[in-house]
Amino acid sequence: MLSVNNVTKKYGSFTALENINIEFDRGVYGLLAPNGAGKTTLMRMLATLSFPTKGEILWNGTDIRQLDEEYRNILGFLPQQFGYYKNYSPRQFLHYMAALKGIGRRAADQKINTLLERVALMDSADQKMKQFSGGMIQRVGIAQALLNDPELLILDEPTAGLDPKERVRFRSMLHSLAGDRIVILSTHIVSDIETIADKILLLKDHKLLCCEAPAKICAALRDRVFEVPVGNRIKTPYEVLYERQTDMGTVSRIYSEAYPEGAVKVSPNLEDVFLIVYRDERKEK
Amino acid sequence: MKLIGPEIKKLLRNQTLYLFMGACLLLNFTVIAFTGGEHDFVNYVGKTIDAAGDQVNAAFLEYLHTQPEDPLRSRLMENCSGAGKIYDSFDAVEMGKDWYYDEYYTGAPFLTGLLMKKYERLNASVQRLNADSADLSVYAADATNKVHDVLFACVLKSLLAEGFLLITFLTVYTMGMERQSSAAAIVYCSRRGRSLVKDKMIAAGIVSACCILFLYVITLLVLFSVWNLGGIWDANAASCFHKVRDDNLPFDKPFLTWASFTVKGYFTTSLLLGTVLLAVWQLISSCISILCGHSAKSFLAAAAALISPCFLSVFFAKLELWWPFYLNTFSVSMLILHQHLWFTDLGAYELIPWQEVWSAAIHLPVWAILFFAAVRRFQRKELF
Repeated sequence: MLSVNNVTKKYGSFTALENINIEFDRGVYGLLAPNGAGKTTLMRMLATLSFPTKGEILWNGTDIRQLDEEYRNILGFLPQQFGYYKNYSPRQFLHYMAALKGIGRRAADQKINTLLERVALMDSADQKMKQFSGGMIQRVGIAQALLNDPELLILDEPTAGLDPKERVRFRSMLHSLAGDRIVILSTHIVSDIETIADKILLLKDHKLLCCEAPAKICAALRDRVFEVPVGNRIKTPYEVLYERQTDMGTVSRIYSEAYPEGAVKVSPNLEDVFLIVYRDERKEK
Repeated sequence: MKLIGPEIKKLLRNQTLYLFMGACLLLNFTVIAFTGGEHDFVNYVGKTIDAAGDQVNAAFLEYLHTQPEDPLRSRLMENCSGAGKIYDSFDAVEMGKDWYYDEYYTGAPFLTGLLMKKYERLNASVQRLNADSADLSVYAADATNKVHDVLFACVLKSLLAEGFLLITFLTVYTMGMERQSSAAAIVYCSRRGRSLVKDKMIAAGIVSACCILFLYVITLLVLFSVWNLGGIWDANAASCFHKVRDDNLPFDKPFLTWASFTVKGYFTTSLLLGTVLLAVWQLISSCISILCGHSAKSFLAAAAALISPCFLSVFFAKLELWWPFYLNTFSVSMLILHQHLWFTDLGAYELIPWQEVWSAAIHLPVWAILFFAAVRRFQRKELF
């Protein structure tokens, strides 16, 4: 179990994260927040790349800084900006990463072949990575994160920069990744996690807003999300979330405390939650 | 330790390394090519020493007389007629008193005291050299300074400087590589983590050592195919023919070594001290690279560390800041600068006998400790 206890992170006078308390057990956790909310800051602290200003992060009751190598041995991390060696092939790069993770040569050979199959890069295993597309690079990134079969897998914005096809491929892969481990996935793209996360963590104003199952989060907006054809006059106070095309024309998806005339009540989804929770930040921009 | 191999492979993939090695060899061969002029005479002297010993004595002169008439023989005989026991009446204390005490370390009585003691001890060394008849050693007769300059002031100094540059390049490159390629996050959160910098330093050291050894071997092989020293290797480095130009003196002073060295012994000891200094620089550049983090900053800092003591020496001397001036003489750069005069009286640049050896002996453990301190700091420091 991974515990984040009263963690605050400050950079000078700027508070990136304040008094975060979370407990992670087996399952997939989606860390959902807009850019600049502190997701990467939290991920980096979990990956031991930076340290909390206050508070502690514990793995099975022991501070991760104290555990040192023992903690990093169970960790798999894919950062937001995944760096690699351009003149290396995926196989060479994964061999290097395997050595860093303390995996012997023979075991590494087997694991690398398995992982390359899993991320569909077997055919390009010996090509230099400078020839790869963004999606292929990201797949190498996932492969290296899985090399040591981590108990804790941290993926920071893994679908950033990927085209829709690659994002769908990634989502499918993520389903198979969950298993017996803790997977923490940060994103500002709701569709990445809405179908796979067991729990969603929302950060707002650098604090943890909630850590609940998606259904429970969406339930908080029950009876308040509607769709109404564009152009309809709405007399009750409301807020437009977004518009979409239907067979009947363009409709506005709105949030309203009261039931507007001519509107159709719809089931709220995670996207609605995201747009409503972070509407202040949208307005500022 | 398992990571040293992969780190070495990363370094060997860098094509700039091979370009640099090629440029060094080209430079060295050019330097050797332009040292010409005295090969025949030096070769002749070497063969004569092989046959008749290195001392200018009756047996040596008799041997010369038996040799065929030859301009080289005539030249050597003329040189030998000028050879004499200079250490019999040489007074190092008088030399120091006349030319150094009033010019340097004035207003710093402790340092002046050290300077005076140094010249007293130098007298003891002169007596040892006298007992060994070092002054009567032929060495390379009137081509001695040329041979010494070629061997030590040109070739060995170039090789040492190239070694320093190579170490800087490889260390800065390997330590900064992860940030350059944005791989720092995944590399340093691995099981090996930030301790990887120790493997990187060792890898850079191994590759540097192999490359430097290669440069030394190839360059010296070419040098000794051009300059066939033969019996000169067994001559005494403190020969009466061996003079040192010192700007503080109106005359050339003898090459006064603290111990009696053959040319071979002096050469070997210089190589050993050079090796220790290269190891010191490996530690220094590793510290700089770990603390700076960024390749460009590391390179600039290393360049500044190497170059600035040379300017500071002039600056401190002009302003007569004698303590900083003296402490600066212990810097690695000043040691390289005076590499061709190691193990001798270095005038105002040395206040204790064998100062260059003491410098290296102090630098090595100090920088080893500082390296481990830098690693420890890096392990506790945030990466972002």
